[in-house]
Amino acid sequence: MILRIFLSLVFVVAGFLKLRDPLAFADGISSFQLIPGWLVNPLAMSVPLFEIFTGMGFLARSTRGAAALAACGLSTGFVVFHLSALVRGIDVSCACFGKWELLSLPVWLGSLRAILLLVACVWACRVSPDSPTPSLKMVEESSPHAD
Amino acid sequence: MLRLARESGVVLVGALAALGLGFLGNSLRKHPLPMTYENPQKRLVKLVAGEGGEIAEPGGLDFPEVQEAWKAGEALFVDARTADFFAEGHIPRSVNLPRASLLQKGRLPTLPEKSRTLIVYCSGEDCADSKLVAQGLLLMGFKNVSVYSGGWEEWEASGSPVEK
Repeated sequence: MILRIFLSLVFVVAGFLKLRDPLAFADGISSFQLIPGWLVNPLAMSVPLFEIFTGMGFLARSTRGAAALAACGLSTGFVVFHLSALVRGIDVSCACFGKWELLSLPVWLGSLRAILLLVACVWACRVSPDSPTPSLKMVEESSPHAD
Repeated sequence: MLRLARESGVVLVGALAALGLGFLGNSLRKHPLPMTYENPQKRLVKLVAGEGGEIAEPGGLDFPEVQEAWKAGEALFVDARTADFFAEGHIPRSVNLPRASLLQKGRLPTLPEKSRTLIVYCSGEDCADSKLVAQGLLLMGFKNVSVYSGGWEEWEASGSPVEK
């Protein structure tokens, strides 16, 4: 419950802040030098809204599982972007919270933050009753050897 | 498995909705993003020079020429770095004119008459801001604008006077 509210807040706030300044987010995406120029602005326009949808999805029971799945996808993308910058030694400005990013994190710390977010999202996937991945307990209960 | 497929479908619908609404919202913005991304340097050049405009190339000065000009005291030195770096140390009698300020007249320092010699510098050989600011000043009507490409790093390393 607490984890879902936390993730909901993170995604809604991050999406809202990016939405207010898409240009700063576009500069952030471009600084990773990972995707072609024609894809940067369409991503800068749509990812913030997708984050808001994801965050709001955690609040309704019927969309909780889909939200957890989307959050896993988004945070996997963040991890890939950060780790690739770390490996290539590129100094990036992720603009993860738009230009209101409170801390200008070094790349390794940004990568760590993205990994922690991914771990939280995977955890939310596992604990959600509507999760696409059944929990260990559910698997055991449905197994013919359980009894 | 069925649940995973259903939830993947919901995610896909959400992604498509975000894409569609993102484009729609962008088109309603006062300053919409163009479809193709342009880096900050390109945007500044376009704003200063206009669409398809041409920008004059400022001349370059090396360290002995800059030192001589500074000793003569006639040229005005323009520091194109951000205010934080300017506050940490700059060439004495410089004014701070970061490239972001160039486009906001309210933040421009008091600039001299257009005929005065201006020498623009930034961090060093690798920074592009001195050239961008010099080009902006040329477009604003200043006649004698040069770039000191060695910049702050060379000036400080030479043991020349600095001001904080």
